[in-house]
Amino acid sequence: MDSVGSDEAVIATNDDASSCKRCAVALGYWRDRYISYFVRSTDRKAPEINRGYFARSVAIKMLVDKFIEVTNGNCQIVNIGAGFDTLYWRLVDEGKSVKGFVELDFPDYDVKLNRNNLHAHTYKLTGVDLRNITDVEAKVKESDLEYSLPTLFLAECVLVYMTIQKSSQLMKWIAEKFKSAFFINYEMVNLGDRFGEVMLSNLRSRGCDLAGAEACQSTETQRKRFLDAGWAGADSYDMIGIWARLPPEEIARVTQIELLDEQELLHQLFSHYAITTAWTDHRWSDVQL
Amino acid sequence: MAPGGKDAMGDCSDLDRQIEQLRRCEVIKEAEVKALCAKAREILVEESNVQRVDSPVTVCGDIHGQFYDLKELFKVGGDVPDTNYLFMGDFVDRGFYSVETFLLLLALKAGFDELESEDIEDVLASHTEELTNEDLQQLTEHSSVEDEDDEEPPQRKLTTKRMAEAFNMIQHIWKVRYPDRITLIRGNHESRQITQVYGFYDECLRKYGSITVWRYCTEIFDYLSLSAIIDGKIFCVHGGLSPSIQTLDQIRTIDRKQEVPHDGPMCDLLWSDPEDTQGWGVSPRGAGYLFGSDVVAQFNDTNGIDMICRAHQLVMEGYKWHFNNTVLTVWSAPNYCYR
Repeated sequence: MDSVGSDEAVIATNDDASSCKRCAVALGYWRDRYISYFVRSTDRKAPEINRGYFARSVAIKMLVDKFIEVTNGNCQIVNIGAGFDTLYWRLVDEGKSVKGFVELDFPDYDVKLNRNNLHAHTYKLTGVDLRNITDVEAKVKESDLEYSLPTLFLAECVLVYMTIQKSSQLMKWIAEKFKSAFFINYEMVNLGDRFGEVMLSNLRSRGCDLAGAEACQSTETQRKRFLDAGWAGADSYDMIGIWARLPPEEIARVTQIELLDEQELLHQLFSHYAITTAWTDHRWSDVQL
Repeated sequence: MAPGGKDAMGDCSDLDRQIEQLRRCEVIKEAEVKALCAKAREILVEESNVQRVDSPVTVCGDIHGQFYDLKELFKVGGDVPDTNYLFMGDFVDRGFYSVETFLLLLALKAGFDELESEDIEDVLASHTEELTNEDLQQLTEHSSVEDEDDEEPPQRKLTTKRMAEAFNMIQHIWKVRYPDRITLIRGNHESRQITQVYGFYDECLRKYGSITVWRYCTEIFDYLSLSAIIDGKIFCVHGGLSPSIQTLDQIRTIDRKQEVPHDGPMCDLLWSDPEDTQGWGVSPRGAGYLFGSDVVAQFNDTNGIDMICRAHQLVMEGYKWHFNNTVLTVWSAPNYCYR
């Protein structure tokens, strides 16, 4: 992932993800009145894709809400490789305030240029190469982030595009610098099986080399990468486990939206993604679904 | 439209060109789709609900618009018409190239399944040297048509009646030499309702700017056969069995030329799944049934068949045996899992 070409391919995965989210939102899977400002409408996605994005989006939002709740809003959020994530505006809508909200992303994120280095009182968007810790440190400083405040880091399919060496360097740096950190990592798991192989070759054919695939072999390797980087604790559940932890009334509601004719496919998709949470401070070990 | 009243499918070279175009994953014109569907309909309407197929034939499962997987399949399995294929439905939806995938299969079917009348004339012409009336007499001796031309001296001139008989004879020879190259049976996604949810509708709209092509294709879906039987021994169907069906003859009596119903035998054939159980169960899909090993044993015994071959379920390894090798699930869209 050292060439510009592959960086662009990785950025393109964000466009895909955003259009999938927009599709699911338009169908009523969850509410997000901002997503349509970031992506134009596209073809309707298959129901299992919509359900997958629903589970991911809702589970992450629930974890973020819990973190804000347990810290009483006395916290910061750093959204790594945020792409077109609308999390900040959704939190503002719900009247949930935090001390700081920073989005870190590729520095030359063309499509986002008009928002680039957009700074509000609590919201900052900063271009940074996450593989360069000196750069990350400088940008974090510019963003007025406080190392002493409880800080939530959020990454959705970001670390996997970095080499293990670069991603663990980033996680070590966070664990050392921030007094009290919590990490939410949404990413692939079980890449070693046939389904995983197909997923890898698919992404490779689009120019995305999953340089960090090694850490995505299982929920255990996902946990271990944090523990090895000096985090105090970590949990990891694949999306089958996450789905089972979502509010039953929500599950009942969304399963009515569309007919899903192929359960096995949803099962396969869910067993190949996981949400891993990690903490440097045991006070946050309760932040789970 | 070509002059002289010939439509877009008017001659073989048009169809050949369209096949070449579709093989390159390029869409063909709306008017050409219309003509192709009209031609395909003529062929499909003649097919039985339990289409007879002879071995050797390569049986394939769901393709789901994954054009490049289909190409790979032809690369590995041999090209049409060198290899005979039986596709068990779900040509469209989910993948990016449902239009190209379905139309290519349809064009291959139209191109290799039916003998063009011009082709018959060509064959006839090439055989005139060898064909005497005597030969024709011999070849058509079982024909119910009485020979009124006994007194006619042997010559190369064929009467209209004999011409017709020769036509039949050559068609028969051709059928033996070129049996049905591609058999297409209907999957649960070959439906107006499902394609509006799973992508084919949107894809047609995006690629043609209107839903006309979607309408042509969904009309053809109604003509697709419901099942096939290979050498009288292997029953092929997209989904599986139905509690309302005990015999193949019951399938033969279904009026299939309609949208896939929400329930009933036709729906079940396209929606059911085998399940490690006995008897019948409720399907989590919301249509069709789950059928157990005893159901299969009974059905196979009643109909004198060895096994049921079906698609419909994702199997990462490509195929999966059930019930002591009496049911086989075939899956042919390896990239289906991730777009």
